[in-house]
Amino acid sequence: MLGDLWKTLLDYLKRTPYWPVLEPVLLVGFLYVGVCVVAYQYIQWRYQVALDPALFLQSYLFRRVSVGFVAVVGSFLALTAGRAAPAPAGAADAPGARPATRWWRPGRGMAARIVLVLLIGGVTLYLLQRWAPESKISPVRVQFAAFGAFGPQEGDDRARARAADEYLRLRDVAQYLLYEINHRQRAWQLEFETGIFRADLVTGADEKRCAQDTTPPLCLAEAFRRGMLTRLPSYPPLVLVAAEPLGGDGTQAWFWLNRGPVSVVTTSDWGGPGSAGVVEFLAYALVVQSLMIHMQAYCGLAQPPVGAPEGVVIGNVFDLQPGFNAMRAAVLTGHLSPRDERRLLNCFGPEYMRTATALLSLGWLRSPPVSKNLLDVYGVKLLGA
Amino acid sequence: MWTKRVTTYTVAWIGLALAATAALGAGGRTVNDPQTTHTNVQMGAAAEGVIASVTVQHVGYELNSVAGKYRLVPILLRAAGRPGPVTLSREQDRLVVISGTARIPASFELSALDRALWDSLAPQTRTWLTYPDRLDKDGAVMVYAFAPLAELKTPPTAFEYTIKSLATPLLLRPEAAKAAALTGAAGG
Repeated sequence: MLGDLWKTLLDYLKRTPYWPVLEPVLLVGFLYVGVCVVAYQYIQWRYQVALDPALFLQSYLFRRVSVGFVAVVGSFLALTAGRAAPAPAGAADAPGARPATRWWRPGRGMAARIVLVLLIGGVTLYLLQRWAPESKISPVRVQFAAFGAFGPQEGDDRARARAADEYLRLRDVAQYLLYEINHRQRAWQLEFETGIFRADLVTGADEKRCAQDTTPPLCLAEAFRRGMLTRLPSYPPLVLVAAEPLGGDGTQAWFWLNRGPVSVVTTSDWGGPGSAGVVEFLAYALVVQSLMIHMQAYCGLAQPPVGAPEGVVIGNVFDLQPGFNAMRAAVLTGHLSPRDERRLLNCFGPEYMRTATALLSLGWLRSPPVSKNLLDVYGVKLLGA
Repeated sequence: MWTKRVTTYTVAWIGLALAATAALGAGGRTVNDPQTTHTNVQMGAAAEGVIASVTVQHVGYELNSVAGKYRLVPILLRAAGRPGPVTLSREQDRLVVISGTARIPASFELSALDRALWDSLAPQTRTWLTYPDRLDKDGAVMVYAFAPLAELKTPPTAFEYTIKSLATPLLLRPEAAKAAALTGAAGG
């Protein structure tokens, strides 16, 4: 039915005097639509996602496909426009025919055409690079605060000393985990800061101000990063790991806090640096914080989510916090909702989305080589291992 | 004739360079670099498997100070054959500079000594000066202490470094060979 309609329309257009002009335009249009459809189908097949056509049309992928197509068509036109078409067979032998012109014969203007093609290629490469999602993703720096940096620890001297040792061991483990994460993906890099964080690394004025803040660790981490940025403008976003509670009057800040390019993660709410599953929690938290930092910087993610109903826990990564009792479940089943997958895909591309999904599942952490390394080198036994 | 002269000079320069390289490789001492290295390594052994050393370069030591108020004491800490890491504590570890009969306490926490000076430092410098919380197994780390200039009248003769997690303080005394050489050079 649709085909007949289309055929009728084409037949009509062919009879109009505008057909010589319309024909190439329609041809290019068909090709363009075809290329977009193929790209759309390829993304769905390759990364196993159900992609909204509207989302695709707003995405960087669509822009890149369009630019590539325009570049190819533009180059073709630059090389062929104004040139004589190849003569039909036998036409050259006809009486009175002019000498045959080779269609692809370098001649006058060829240099200009080549320059134009190179120019198109350069602009295209620039735009493709500019719209490459990977090009805008920054590395994230992970730093550990000194044990007791944000307040005294509970327990007697022996218990504190043991907790301090476990915290130092956790730092070693975290460094190893960062290397594993970096080794397994290319979407972004996690940097490990070997120096420890102390509250007095910020100015005295900031230290006093943050002491009055409801969440001192986050306040200090932000002040520290601001100070670093004054001398090192390229200083990356920061995830600070601490052993002490994050504040928030005991009701607002569990496990982690994030604001823009700074996050703080505490092992305290999980049960301390030596508790079972703390390695899984830390790995999960570092990945989540990296994603949240990237999404806030480049993807318009708002924290807390606009309109999020309070008390509803669905286990998505970008819930503000899964809640005190639900964190274990969140870590054990870490996943992205289809909506978040699409969001990551659209913002950062399929490679990033696939990486995020794989890292959050913690399958890499529980893989035999990594769990064996953790056990043999660091004496860490993972949950369920 | 000209070729012969060039060849002679070239061979002479190469010979000189080789001789200098051999002298340096053999441990030739740098001229006009008076320094003393204080270390806790005695008779080739370090107490508790931790080597601490402070090198005082006397020219820099005499002329440099921190804001005209403190002497900077950089201490190189190395773990040598310990089974595990060494826990460091900014609050509990101590350094005493011994200068003749005087014992002058130094601090690892400049922020507590002089907050205005500390705040004026670049953030990265503050990070470098921050006392670490651990010396890794087989690792090395540089820590920095500050001794009050007003009390440190003469060059240090020794350092006493107390690390809370170790059983005994580390006594850093001048290395014998270098001390003797320095005495000779100063006398000459």
